[in-house]
Amino acid sequence: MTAYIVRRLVQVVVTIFFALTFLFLLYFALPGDAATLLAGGDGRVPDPVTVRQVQDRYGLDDPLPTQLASYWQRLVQGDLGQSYQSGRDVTSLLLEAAPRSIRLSIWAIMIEVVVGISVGLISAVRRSSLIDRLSTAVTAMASAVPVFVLAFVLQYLFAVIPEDQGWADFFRFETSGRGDDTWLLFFIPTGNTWRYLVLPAVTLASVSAALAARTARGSMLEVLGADFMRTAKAKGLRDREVLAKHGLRNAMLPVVALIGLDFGTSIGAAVLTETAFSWGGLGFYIAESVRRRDLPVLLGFTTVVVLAYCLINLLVDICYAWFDPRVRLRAGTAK
Amino acid sequence: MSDPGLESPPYTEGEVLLSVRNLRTRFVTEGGDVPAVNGVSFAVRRGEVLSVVGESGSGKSVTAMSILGLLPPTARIEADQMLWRGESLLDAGEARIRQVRGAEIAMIFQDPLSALNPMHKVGRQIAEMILIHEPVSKKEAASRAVEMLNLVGIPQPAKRAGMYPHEFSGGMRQRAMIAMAIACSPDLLIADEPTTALDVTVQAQVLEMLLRLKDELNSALMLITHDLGVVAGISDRVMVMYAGRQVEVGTTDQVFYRTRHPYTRSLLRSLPRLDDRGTDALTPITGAPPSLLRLPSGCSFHPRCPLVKERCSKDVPDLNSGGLGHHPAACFYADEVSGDTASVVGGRS
Ligand SMILES: Nc1ncnc2c1ncn2[C@@H]1O[C@H](COP(=O)(O)OP(=O)(O)OP(=O)(O)O)[C@@H](O)[C@H]1O
Ligand code: SF4
Ligand SMILES: [Mg+2]
Repeated sequence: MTAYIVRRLVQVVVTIFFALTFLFLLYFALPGDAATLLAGGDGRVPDPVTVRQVQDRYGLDDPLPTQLASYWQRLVQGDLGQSYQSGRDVTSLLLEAAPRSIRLSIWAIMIEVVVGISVGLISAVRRSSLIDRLSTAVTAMASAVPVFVLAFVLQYLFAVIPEDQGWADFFRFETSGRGDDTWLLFFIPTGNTWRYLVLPAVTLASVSAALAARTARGSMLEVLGADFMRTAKAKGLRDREVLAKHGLRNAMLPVVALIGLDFGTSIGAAVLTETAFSWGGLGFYIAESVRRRDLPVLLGFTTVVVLAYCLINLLVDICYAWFDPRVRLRAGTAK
Repeated sequence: MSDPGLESPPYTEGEVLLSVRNLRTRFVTEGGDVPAVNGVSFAVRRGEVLSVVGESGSGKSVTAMSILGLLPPTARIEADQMLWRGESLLDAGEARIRQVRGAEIAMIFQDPLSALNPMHKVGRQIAEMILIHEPVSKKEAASRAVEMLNLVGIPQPAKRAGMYPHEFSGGMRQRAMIAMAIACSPDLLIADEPTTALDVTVQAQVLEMLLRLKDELNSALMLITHDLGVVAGISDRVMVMYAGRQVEVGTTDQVFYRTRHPYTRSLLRSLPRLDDRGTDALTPITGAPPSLLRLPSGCSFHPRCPLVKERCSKDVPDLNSGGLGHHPAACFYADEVSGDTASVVGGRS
């Protein structure tokens, strides 16, 4: 297991290096004058003094390898430049926005895992029952509806209507912002914060949860027909022990893989969700910086997202190896 | 009371462990009911080896699974009688059936790679069997598992117990499967094609071991196979199945040397002959087994039968149709089946 983790770590470091280099080249080496963009955005006439400063700061007159090297140097030092828009340090913006995204993701993932997987498993075990048919229909719908449409529908159903109808407070949710924005143990909402959290968390979770439910159902159905399940029954185990001791872990493998693979899609969904609910996280700022052509913010935030993406994939792979001895051992012996 | 499959011919004097009368198992499917087993009767006595042979799809596995209730929920199992050491399994509660599974009747499956859980260590899978049925500690069960691996001839059993099924070779996996099956000293071992997935050399070793363990445990062995060569060497009695029915039942010598059913004879003829020197070594049976959803009228074998006569497509023969004074065969013209199959395999001597 340790050998496996070390191997994967090395791979991740290499991946991160190439991914970030590519990202840098994308922003700075593609056509269009980066200095102009950085100093004031496309289509505007920037102050020549600012352009000069920007060129010095990013060394835009230097040859590409030098630029790349200094990008890496600044990155390692944690210097991501300043926002053109607000003049604030990108790093401090990041430190403010990242926890918000992480909280939202934690809740979305919890909903995905708990609701998605249990719905999938129950449909598989109670195959062709009413529950199975219902959940199949709902999950098919949830994975087909675009995120912003879902956000709008949820906002309408759970915020606009309750307010119009004057429903009891308990059923009212908020559609924008973060309320008190107070948290216990980092992720447990306190005060009125939960009213703001529920809708974006559900929205962000929905697509992945539907996918997780479908995957869990499919893999559980497959496992239910597996030979080793019959062996377990032939040993004299109760049906529910057969399921719990022999079925679950085997059925979870594809779901773990999916959650990892799905993370890329979730980033896109997070940008849309955070924008729709003005959540103020990484996705929200990325969307904003694109709109305002705030290149330092865009570069800084996407860099962090790429890092997070690689690290989370690493984590998923380690979980996967822990789940499945075949992966672990293959990696251990293939040296 | 005529139930030849059940009553005769007694080969050993041992206690009747399992007796099944008129077992009918069908599967409810969208295309209609599939009668996978249709009126099968047999008994297994302590100490004996009963082989069940027949082409693929003849209902051998379904017969075995029906006994232990291991079939999917679409299966409907009916029988006039299913007695396990005098106790009716049909009337037994779920809890009692679970006791029987593993501890009294244990199964060995065909493909040990898929029949073992890929996520659990081999030792743990064997220990689990012991923990289900005996009041022992986990530690004791684990050390018994190692003993079991040793008993089935796996080298370095303690180390092997900590490994996963995919780290074992095919033969070792089947040995591990056998170790699991015998862990609670069952009275009856049902082995469903235990050697089909193995190399020929390993096949012989595994069969050898099954026989030895059967004797050591003083139990019985029900061996399901489509390999008549295997049957000849080790079984006391043979039951031949075709399309969900028994077509011939007898001692190994009777079935091999005084064959009374055309289907059995075709099966025997399709075997490579020991005395042939390479000339037309194999005579495959012509035609394919019928679809269970559309069984031929009368004798199910009639479209493929070399002896077919008019009556065969009208009446259904049963095990009594072969006539009295011989071992049971479901054929109206059993007397015309020649016994020139004796040279096929060196049966037990
Ligand atoms: N779950 C099921 N649903 C429908 N039909 C089934 C099911 N299981 C088995 N059958 C049918 O029952 C018949 C007998 O199957 P069985 O597995 O007993 O054959 P077998 O004699 O063991 O053959 P093999 O040598 O291939 O193992 C087959 O025709 C098969 O199609
Ligand atoms: S009854 Fe007729 S068709 Fe059936 S096996 Fe005998 S001879 Fe052949
Ligand atoms: Mg079979």
